[in-house]
Amino acid sequence: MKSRRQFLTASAAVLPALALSACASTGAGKLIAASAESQSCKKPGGPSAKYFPNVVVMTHTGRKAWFYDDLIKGKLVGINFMSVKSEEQFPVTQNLAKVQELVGDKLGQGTFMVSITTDPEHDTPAVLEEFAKKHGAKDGWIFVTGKPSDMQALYHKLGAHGGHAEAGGHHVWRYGNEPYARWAAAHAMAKPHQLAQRLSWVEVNKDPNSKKA
Amino acid sequence: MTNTSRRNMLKLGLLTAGASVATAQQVFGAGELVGNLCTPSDLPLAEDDPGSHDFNLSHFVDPLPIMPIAEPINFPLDPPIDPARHQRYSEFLPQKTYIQVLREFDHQYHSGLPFTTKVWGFNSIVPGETFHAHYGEPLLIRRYNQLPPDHVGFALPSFTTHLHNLHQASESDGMPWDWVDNGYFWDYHHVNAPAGGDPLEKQTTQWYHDHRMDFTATNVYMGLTGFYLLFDKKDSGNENDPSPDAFRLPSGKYDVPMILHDISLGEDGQLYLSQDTNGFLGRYYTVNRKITPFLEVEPRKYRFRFLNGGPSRFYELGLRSDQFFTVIANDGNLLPKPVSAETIKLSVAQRFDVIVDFSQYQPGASIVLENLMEQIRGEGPTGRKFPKGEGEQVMEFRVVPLTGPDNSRVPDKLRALPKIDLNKVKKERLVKLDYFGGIWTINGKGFDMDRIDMEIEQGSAEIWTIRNGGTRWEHPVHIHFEEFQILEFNGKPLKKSDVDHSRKDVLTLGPGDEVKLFFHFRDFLGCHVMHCHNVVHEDHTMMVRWCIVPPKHGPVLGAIIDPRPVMRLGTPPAGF
Repeated sequence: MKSRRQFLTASAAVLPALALSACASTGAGKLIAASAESQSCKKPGGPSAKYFPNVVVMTHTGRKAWFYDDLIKGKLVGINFMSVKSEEQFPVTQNLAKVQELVGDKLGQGTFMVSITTDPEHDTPAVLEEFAKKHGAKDGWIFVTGKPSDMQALYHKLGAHGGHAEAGGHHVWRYGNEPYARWAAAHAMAKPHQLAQRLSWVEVNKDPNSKKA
Repeated sequence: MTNTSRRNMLKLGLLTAGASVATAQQVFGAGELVGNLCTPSDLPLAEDDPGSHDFNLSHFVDPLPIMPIAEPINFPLDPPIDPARHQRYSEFLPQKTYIQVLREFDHQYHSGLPFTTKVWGFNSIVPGETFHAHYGEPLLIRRYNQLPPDHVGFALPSFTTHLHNLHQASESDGMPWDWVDNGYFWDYHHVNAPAGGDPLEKQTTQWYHDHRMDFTATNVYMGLTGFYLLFDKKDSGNENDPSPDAFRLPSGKYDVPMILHDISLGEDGQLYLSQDTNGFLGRYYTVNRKITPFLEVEPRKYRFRFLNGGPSRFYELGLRSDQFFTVIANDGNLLPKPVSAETIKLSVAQRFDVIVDFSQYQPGASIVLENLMEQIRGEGPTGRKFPKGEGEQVMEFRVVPLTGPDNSRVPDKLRALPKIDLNKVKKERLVKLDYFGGIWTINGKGFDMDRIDMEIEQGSAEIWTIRNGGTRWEHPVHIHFEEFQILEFNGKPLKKSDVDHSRKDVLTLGPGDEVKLFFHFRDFLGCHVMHCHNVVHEDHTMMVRWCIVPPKHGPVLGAIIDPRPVMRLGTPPAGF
């Protein structure tokens, strides 16, 4: 396990965009106090922008981030929903810790894992940091929390059945390649190698000879 | 919705020949709610999806495209087929060989659009060419992946082509796990022999479509579909056939396959698909990939082969006239007898072959085909039905002068059903459709390509009870490889006059519905799937894997089920 200092340094290195610029978006604009800041920012956008609420979230390392701009855009990413309290009933984080091992060196190098809490009131950045540590989360695996309404927006868009919140979303694992707008979903409790393999499906490989037939 | 009312709904659309015909209003009462599928009002409607742009397109501007018939190649395959990868290859040596190359190209969905749309198709055609296959004539299709590996968009440039409901071995059935990446190919061997060698198991209207794991909805939506029609001495595809055995159904240009897809386009003119796991509804109806087209018809009989290509919309098709459909086939199987129907209800992947006789019309007349089923979200219809004449317009038939005599016929008897032999039943199973944790489930689990959910002894029959445990959505369940007959629907056997008294491969279960199905598993070993054919549900894990194993094989399945398909490296020959 890395020391806390090393961990924070490394996190900062893999998330260069986390110094939250005042980039306003429809969903997040209300969190930015000064409208002047909003006017000065870059337009949110990208091949997959329409699929993701660009809300402000807090990471388990205590940094602010735009969900889409900073955590999804330009990346190959697996996204899931969790909460510290529900881990016992839905041991998804435990499963993803094994996926993390299989992703190996790619984690943090273009490939990221994002875990969104469904219980933001309890799961503060500090609680998530402890939780991440407990599960051996490495650089490139980011746990996020935030305003309950923003977390709910993420959950409704990505986790629940078209907004049927009661269906629960702890078994949804979305994965995709943002620059290529390829997105799909699998069962978060699928075998770790199956989830890791899926990340390779959405990678762009132009050389057929590099594959084993 | 009560179970009874749902059955009534089915009956409404399908009245037996000679029976008096009731209108929708008489049966339902105006505005009567027959379903409880309406979801909370605060959820967005499909039509409000900001990703779907309204281009104010007019109806009936473009002619219905008719896909060309696939032509076999007349040169040897290079590299040659590897017989070791195909079961019973030497018994069913291909008599014809075809090549299809999967590519991206531009397509004009409507002539009023100021741009073309990128689509995926077979041999640069969307939908792909129509295969005319014949019983007793095995064939082979080599499919190459030349899709762009750096494609930007929701689909994955990796394919596996399922020939829907055809009786073929696992390695040629387009299993979700047998994908073919860019620069590779795979050979699909279709034996064109009826299940168990029983002539009563012969089929007629099938289709091929992509089945890539997690990406079926996306890849089919991009265009990867086409028809595969089967003929024999009876259903010979020749209305002038002098053989006394021939049915002489309308043929040639009077036999029209039509695949229905609904699509949305973004502002940039490219196909738009949401990420809603409930399902997806498009803004525009297309038939053979043209938005609300028209077809010129002569005052005579036509055979229309309607197929609901998805992704998630349900149809109840009717004509804005007093014209009826004469249904001759359900899910690609000729019925024992034709059934007269005011409307036909098509769930995703379902097919109905119908005869429509336009002989009562004068040239210049036009008849609109409409969808009477109200559906506002991907999960299933609301249960309400539009009054006749007020449905959503799908296409138009325009009557033009007759060019020759109509020698086609509609026989009183078509194909009898094979006998259900309950003595062969070795196992009964319960299959429950539901959701949990945001994922669609079957028997509480999401799909796992490495797990075998059911082992079935080759040669045995089984009874499957399938139950929809959900409260709000419909699931069109599809079972590969062997067809079923319905023993009971919600505890009651079907009447012989019911159009679902037939062989089938797709059956829709509404909330709380339960069906009991009879299967007989024959001919090949290997693994297939059962899944929801709302392909968005399928992609979100609503699928199970089942395998036919030798009788009394013991617990050594892995050694018996040989993972034959491994994609082969290769590029298409010149000219393709």
